[in-house]
Parts: sequence; structure tokens; C-alpha cells
Amino acid sequence: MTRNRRFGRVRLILLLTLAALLCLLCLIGPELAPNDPYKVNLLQAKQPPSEKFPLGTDGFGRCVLSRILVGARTSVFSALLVVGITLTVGCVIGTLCGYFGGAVDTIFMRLVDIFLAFPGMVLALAVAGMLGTGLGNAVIALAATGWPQYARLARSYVLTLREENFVYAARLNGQSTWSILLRHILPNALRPLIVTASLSIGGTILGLAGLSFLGLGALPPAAEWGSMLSDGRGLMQQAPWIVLYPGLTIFLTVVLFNLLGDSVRDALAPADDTHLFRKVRPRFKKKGTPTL
Amino acid sequence: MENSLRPDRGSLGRFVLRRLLLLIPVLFGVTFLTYGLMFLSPSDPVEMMLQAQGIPVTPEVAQAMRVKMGLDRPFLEQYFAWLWRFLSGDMGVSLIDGEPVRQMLMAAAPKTLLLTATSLLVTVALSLPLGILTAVRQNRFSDYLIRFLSFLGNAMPCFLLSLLLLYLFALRLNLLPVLAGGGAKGLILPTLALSLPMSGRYIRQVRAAVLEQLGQRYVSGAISRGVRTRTVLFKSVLRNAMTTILTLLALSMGSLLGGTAAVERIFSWRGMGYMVMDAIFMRDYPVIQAFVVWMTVLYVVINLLTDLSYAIVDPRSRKGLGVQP
Amino acid sequence: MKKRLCLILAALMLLGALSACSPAAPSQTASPGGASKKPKSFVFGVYNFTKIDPSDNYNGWGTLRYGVGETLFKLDDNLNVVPWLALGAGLSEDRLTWTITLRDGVLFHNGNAMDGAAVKASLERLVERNERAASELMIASITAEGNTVSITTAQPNPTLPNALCDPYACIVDASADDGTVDFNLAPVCTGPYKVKSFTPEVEAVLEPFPDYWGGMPALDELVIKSIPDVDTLALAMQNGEIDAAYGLSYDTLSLFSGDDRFSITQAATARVYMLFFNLNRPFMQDPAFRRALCMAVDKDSYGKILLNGAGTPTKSAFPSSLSYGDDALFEDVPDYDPEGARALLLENGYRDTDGDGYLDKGGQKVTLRVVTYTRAGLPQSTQALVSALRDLGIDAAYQQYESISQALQSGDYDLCAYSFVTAPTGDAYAFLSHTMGTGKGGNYGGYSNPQVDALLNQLATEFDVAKRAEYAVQIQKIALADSSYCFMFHLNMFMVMKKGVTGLKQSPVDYYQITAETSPAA
Repeated sequence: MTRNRRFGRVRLILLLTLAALLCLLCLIGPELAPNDPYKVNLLQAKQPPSEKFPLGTDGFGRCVLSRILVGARTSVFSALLVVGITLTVGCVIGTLCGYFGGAVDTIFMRLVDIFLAFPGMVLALAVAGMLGTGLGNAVIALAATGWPQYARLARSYVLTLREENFVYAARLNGQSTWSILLRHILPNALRPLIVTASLSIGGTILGLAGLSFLGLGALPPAAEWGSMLSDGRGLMQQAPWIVLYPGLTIFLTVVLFNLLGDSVRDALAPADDTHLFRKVRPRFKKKGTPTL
Repeated sequence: MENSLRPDRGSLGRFVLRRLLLLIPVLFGVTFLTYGLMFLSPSDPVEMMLQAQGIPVTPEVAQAMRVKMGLDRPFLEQYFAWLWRFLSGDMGVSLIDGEPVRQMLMAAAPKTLLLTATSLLVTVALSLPLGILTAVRQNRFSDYLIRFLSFLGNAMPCFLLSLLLLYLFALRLNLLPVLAGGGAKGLILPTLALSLPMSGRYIRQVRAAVLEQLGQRYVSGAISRGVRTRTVLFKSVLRNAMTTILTLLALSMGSLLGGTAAVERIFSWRGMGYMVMDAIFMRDYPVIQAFVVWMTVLYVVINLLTDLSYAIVDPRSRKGLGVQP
Repeated sequence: MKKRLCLILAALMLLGALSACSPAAPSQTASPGGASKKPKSFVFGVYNFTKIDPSDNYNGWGTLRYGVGETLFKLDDNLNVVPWLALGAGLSEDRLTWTITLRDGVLFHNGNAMDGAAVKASLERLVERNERAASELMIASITAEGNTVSITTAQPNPTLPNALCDPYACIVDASADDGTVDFNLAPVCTGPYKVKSFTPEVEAVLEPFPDYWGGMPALDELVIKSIPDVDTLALAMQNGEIDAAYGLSYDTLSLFSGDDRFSITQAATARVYMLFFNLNRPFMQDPAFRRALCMAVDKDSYGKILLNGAGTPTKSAFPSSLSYGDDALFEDVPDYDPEGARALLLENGYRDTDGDGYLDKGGQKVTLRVVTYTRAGLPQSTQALVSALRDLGIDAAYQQYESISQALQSGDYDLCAYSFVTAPTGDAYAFLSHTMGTGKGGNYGGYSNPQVDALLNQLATEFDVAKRAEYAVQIQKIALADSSYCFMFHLNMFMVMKKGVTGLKQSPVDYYQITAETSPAA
């Protein structure tokens, strides 16, 4: 059991380091880029990977690697921004609703119900469509559709937390409401929310890339991974590297963040009592007497 | 054997009624938001409409259009007028070619529903058995293999998968035609493109749900009493995990309903996602509004049905307000 | 019990899915084959499938292209007017009345004869429904007698025969437009193929018209398939699922040109990609600045590389096959010369005085908003241009729209890349007037020159072809002398087809495609 826990810790630290490295890469990406990601050089269009252009060039002669590096900032940070916004907004609203109840609770929870009634991408599509193209609008669209689930979660945890003894004690002690909220309620409610948030980073990256692919997110000549895919589609057969490398990058990034999310969940919310289970699990292989 | 759990007709009926009543304000809110979306854009909706159709925008033309569409009246009045028309079946006409939106919907909706249904089916057919398998064979090679593959599947953007599938199966392997039309043949690739990533996600969730059940005392209790493992699995474990699984199904409908746009585009599958993309770029508000409302209504109905089946499966939940995702 | 419930649900869904998988409506490609007679079927994949009532907007292009309708006159490969449904036209002394002799023995799809009365009814129906046709034809009255039609115009109209080549002038049997037949889906015309079934936005199935005046059409079945996604269109062509494709992107030319399973028919057309300068914006009012911009356009490379060779650089609005499109006449127009552009800007006071990497003048940073829309080849060329402008030190920003009318109407742009067919009916007047006449609908940049307006008026009523060419040259010279417009290149349009397909040739006039001779590979 402890071995499992330790392994989980190591894994978490490893993944956090990788994620941090990725964020670092996003920040310094433009510096690392071997070529200008926006410079059009028609004579070198559609070149396969070479020494000068490690991942080849696209239809305009722009370096694919440079564009991926520069696009990292757009794709990853925007996703993190969306998750950050939804987490904060949802958490605040949910906490307030859960703690104070009453009219505030009813109104906001109705609002949450309404937003949750929309199927995921439908609202994002419509909002992005109405607001217009552009990365900012895509971020707003995804954030607008993402906050309700955090609000709901936060509220349900706060409802339970509110009845805890230490909260009663704090109140008896004369602590102000805000102090209680900030010191006791919020930190405890945040834990499961962070789990959900880290699990949804991968999905948000995919969502942003998807919107860009459809033409609703980042616009050319911006080097966003999803729009690179949609631009390169027409040349997929002649120059597959234009599509493959950004696609691979999206894939690997999402894998990384999904692994990270799993690790965070395992570390912060070990409700998964599989370790218990392993002790008592009967051997399903053999028929007859189970071993305990 | 299960008499104690037979559904109590009365409380079920009350449950249904309560859920339906709660639905009304939500539906109002949904339609209100959808109609209000039009005014979200930074520019005047009427101007946008005219520009998208290539009609020169002069103040007179804009004003005439505004009056014609009733956009000069107060918002609430507009909203209720629109809602009334909508409910009586008049969903307006497309601003692009004047075709009644209702007709467009009736043509496109079945295709999306078909795609969604088959994707859901395939997802369930893949996730359920595989998820149970990995739970039962926990920590063995097959478990790791399936989990690994499902993890990868989950991370794959479905538009990239669609492109790869199309290229691979149609062009290279020549197994399926590119222009597969609207029938069964044309359904295969889009269904795969949608269901594989979803299965990746749900195999793990099924696994977790089943594992949670397997860890319960009653399982080891039953087994120690000599009940066959298979019986335990299907009679009790699955039944109790079903609630979680049903929730997952409902949620996956949500991501399917909205997420078909890219896939429909790539495979030229003329469903609602296909229809709405054009509408979005051309600011064809009536079409966008109809799309949002109908997809949402569908999703709401499915959630309601899920809650209902949940209530039948587990009467304890009837006290509450249904599934909390 | 709960498990059973779930199984029932699953079974229901499966049943539902299966039953909905009924065979798709219209027929797909050809031939199940009986050993003896295999029906000759042809599947034509197009990216811009529309309804085909010729009097409706530009839908006549579809009517003509799919071999359903025909016009009185047509344009040959040199853009000259030649007989088609009409045999000839005579002009009256007062230049107001045209007497057109019709071909004998032409029947409509419903068997009615196409005589003078039918043509009169068709044209009257046209001008009633189509504003553009009404203003271009300027018909005051029509009389019909037997197999001749006399058209009297409101004022002398030198280009009436040209206008009658426009797809909107497909001759239909107006008497059949009585509610029993939807002309949007199945217009009654005279062409080799008539509509058997039409599913909007999906496909049209056409069958041969046995009484076609030009002889029995070669096909037993013609399917026009709508494939708006160009990548899917290319894949379908590669997979052999269609016999020919129109509307492929230029990127795919390289896919097919090396492959001997396919042949490509390509022709230079009068479609030009050009730049509108918004002459109301500060920097754009300086002719020297505009000239420098023109020098930054690498027309050659765009045409060769971005368009895979399908773009022919040009200085004038018209292709060089036309006498008034001869580039040699326009020496004023600068060539691609980035260094020259740099020098020119410097000379005229555009320099980087504040060291921010961008040019400025009079305290203002040179910022340009360059817009375009998603017609194949435009985004690529424009993005390349924006990059070139940035190289010059101009802070150029790029934005692309699905529908450009927004930006054009609001005037919120400095440069707009646009595509026009400049001689749709083999004549210069329509385009020049539309884009260079003061206040005209296509004059997006706000150009206004009284000299040009006067010349346009003269052009409007000049009957002598040589004189018309001269006016056209003069007008262009004036507009291009101060770089008020920039014409980049003319486009080749092309169709890809399976090797062995005959009777399908890309014409310089982009609306002739399917003919009675079109036939699949043997």
C-alpha cells in the first residue's frame, strides 16, 4: 500500500515537472525557433524536413517547427486560461451559493442549470459564432460553457463543509464570514475542484484546437496548432508533415496533461480504494474456493 | 427476490412530475439565452445580416429590415413573439436562401441523430465489455494494454482521427468509398472517428465504476458464501454500477451532439453540424437559433430519460433531484 | 431485471439505427452490369452546386454548366460572340432594334417548339426577375414573328449580343412555369440533358433529351454531385468515385498532373485576382505609396508556386488574348521590384524615425489592414503579400472572411484582395463601369475620376469594336497610371477527369462544361 502511494507521489512530481517544462517551452518557444514562423518564402514551400527546416515547411515556405513552438504559447496558455477562468468563477459562485443559500443560491443555481442544459460544444460554437472569429472569442466561448460544472461541484462540497464542526467552532469564536470562507471553506472546496480542473486541461486543449480547426478560433497567420491542421489539410498528401507534426504535438500535449490530471486526482483524492481491494479481491481465475 | 425494490408507482409518478416542472424554467432560460445570443455580437445584428448577404447597408434598408423582423420592438416582446412562433412550428427562414428552417432541420436532424446513435452504440459496445474486463483483470497485462490504448484514444483530436481514417481507409486501403452517401457505408468512418476517442475515455470510467463496486464488502461476502463470480458480477456489481454508467451515457450524448461539426464536415455527412457551420459564418441567425434550441432540448430530454431510468434502477435516488454530474 | 432493461434499451437503439440505415435516396454511380448493355453514366463532382433557375441571380451558371440550358449566342475560345440557339442578328439603322433569327427545329424538354414567341416570353420573364439582366439588356420591347425575334432597346446597346451570352439568358419555356414544375429544380430548357431528380445541396440526376437539336446526347445518365469540401472532392477523384471534378484547389494540381490515370483540362480565363485600394484611408491617398505597394506584389511567384502554375501574371484587367488586355500597352504599371519599392517609400518620406521597426510618416505609423475572403488562392496570395509588406517595414495585418461584403461595406480596410470575372461576356464595359465608375456598386475603393466617367459613357454607346477596345485601354491607363488599382494575375480554371473522358473541355469562359458529347472513359 505504501509502495503504491510512493509511486503515485513520484509520478505526480515527474509529471508536474514535465508540465512545467512544457510551460517554460511555451514561454521561451519563440526564442528557440530556428526560423521566423511568419515569414513567407514561396520558393521553399512544401519542403520535407531538412537541416534548415527540421520539420519541413508549409505551403507558404514557413518553418513548421518554428510555428509549432510559437503556437505552443497560443494553444497551451489559452487552454490554461480557460481552465483558470472557469475554475475561479465557478468556485467563487458555487461557494457563495453553498454558504449563503437563499435567493442568491436559487438564482445562480437556476442559471447553472440553464447553462448545463446546453450540450458542450453547441453553446461554444454558437457563442464563438456570434462573437466572431478570433482566439479571444473562442476563449470566452469555452469559458462561458465551462464554469457551471465547477459551480455545481463547489456548491455541493461547501454545503457539506458548512455543517462541519470546525466551521461551527470558528463561527462561535466570532470569526467573520469572509475569514471563514477564505480560511476554512475555500481551501477544502478547492481540492476536488483542482482535480476536476487538471483533468479537463487536456479536453480544453482539444476543444480550442477543434474550434480553430473549424475556423472559429485563431485566425491565419496565427500559428495555432488546430488552425495549422486545418490549413495543411489540402496538402496532406503532398506534404504530410504539415498536418502530422502539429497533430502529433496536440496529441502528446493532451496525453501529458491527462496523465497529470490522473496523477493529481490520485494524489489529492484517493477515494479509489483499489489498494483495499487488492487485499480482499478474490481470485476470479480459479473456480471454487476463493482465497482471501 | 427483489420485491423490496419494486418501483412504487406513486412516488415514481411524483418524481416524473417534479422533474418535468423543473424543466420549464430551464427551457425558458435556454430559449431566452439562445435568442439573446444574437445581440451578443459587437455589431448590429441587422447590419451583419445584410452584409453577409451582400446587400448594401444604408440606414433606410437597415431600418426596413429591422421593422420587418420586428427587431425595433423591445427585447422581451421580440423574445416572446419569437418563442411563440417557434413553438407553433415556424422556425423562420434561412437568411441565405430563404428556405424554411424547419425543412432544413427535418432533413438534417435525422442524419445527426443517426450518427449520434450509432456512435453511442459503438462506444457502449466497446467501453462496457472492455471496461469490465480491465476491472476484473486488474493490473495484468491486458489491463495495462487496454488502458494504454484507451488513454491514447482519449487524447486524439477527433478531427485529426477523421482525416487519418479517411485517408487510410478510403484512399490507401480502398475499403470504403470517399463519397459514401447517407447510408450505412457512409456511417462507418464518422462513427469510428467519434466513438474511438469517446471509448478511450469511458473504458476508464467503466473500469473505475466497476472497481468501486468490486471493492465493496458485499462482493467478497457473496463470493465467500459461494456465489459464482459471474453471477456476482452481472447480478449485483453491474446493476449498481449501472447508475454511473447511465450518467456517462447521458454526458457523452452531450459531447456527441455538439462535437459532430468537424466530423460531419470532413466526411460530408449532411447533418446539423454541417448545416450550422455555414450558418455561423454567414450569420444566418434563424438557423443557428433553431440548431441550439433543438440540440439543447434533445440533450435535456435525454438527461430526463436517464434520470428516469436511474430512478427505476435505484429507487433511492427518487428523493433527490436526479443525477449530479 | 435492470440488466434486462438496459439490454432492451440497447436493442431498441440498434433497431432504430438499423432501420434508419435505409438505402440513401438518389442513385449513386453507374451500372450494375447486365452483360449486354451497360448504361453510360457520368458522375461530375462540383464544389458549388446551386439551384438552376437561370433567371435567379447567378444560378444560370449551373443551368449552362450542367448541360441543361442554352443561350441564344455563345462565346468561343477567343471570347467572340458566335451563334448557338440563334443563327444571327441584324441591327436596325437607328441602332435600337436587333432582329435575331432563330435556329430551326429546336425543341424544349417538354416537346414545345422554341420559336420567336417562346424566346420573347423567356426574355420577358428574365428581365422581370433579374435586375442585373434588365440593366444590361436594356430591353424596351420585344416582338416575335415565326422564327425571328426583334428586340428594341431603350437606348443604343452595343453589347446586347454579349449580354445574351450571359448564363441568365438561358432560353426557358416560360409557359411551363405555371406552378406544376419548380424551375429552381427542373427548368424547362433546350439543352442536351434534362432534370430527372434534383435534391438541393446534394445532387442532381439528369437524363438525356432525345430530341435535342444537336443530336442524341452521349450519356444515359448524368449525375452532378455536390461536394463543397475541396479536400473530399480531391479524394473522391483520386479514388475514382467520380468521373470529373470541378472546383479543386490549386494545391491538388500536383496530385493529378503526374498521374496517368487522370487528365487535366486547363484554360486561362478572364477571372482576375486584384487589389482594391481603399482610397478614403490616409496612406492610400498617396499615389507614390500605392505604387510602392504594387511593386511589392510578386505576381510571378504567387502564380507559379501558390497556384501551382495556374496563375498568369498580368498588368491589365483583361487576359492577353483580348486586344485591350495586352500588357505591353501598360508601361506605366511597375513590375515586381521590392528594392525599388523600398527606395520609393524612402524618397517619399516614409522612414522609421522612431526606431520601432516600422515605417512612419508625419508622426503616424504606417499600418495597413489587408482583407480578403476564402476563394481558392486568394488567402494564400494575400498572406504572402502581407509578409512582403511587413518586410518593407509596413505594419500590415491580415484578416480573412468567409464573406467579404462586411468589410467592404463598412470600409474598414486598406487593401482588399478580390476576384472578378472581368469579361464574363467577352466585353470590357460591364467590369470597367462596375468597378471604376464613380459611385458604382463594385467600386469598393471609392475611385472617382471624371475623365474615366466620360470615357465610360462613350464606351456605353460605341458600336465599333475597335473603338471600344481603344476606350477600354484608355480607361485602364488612366486608372493604373496612379496605381489606383492593382491587377495581380489571371486564373486558369481547370477540371480533372479520368483518362479517356471525352467531350469535356475547360473553356476560357468558365460556364461551358457538360456538352452533348461528354462521355466517360470507355
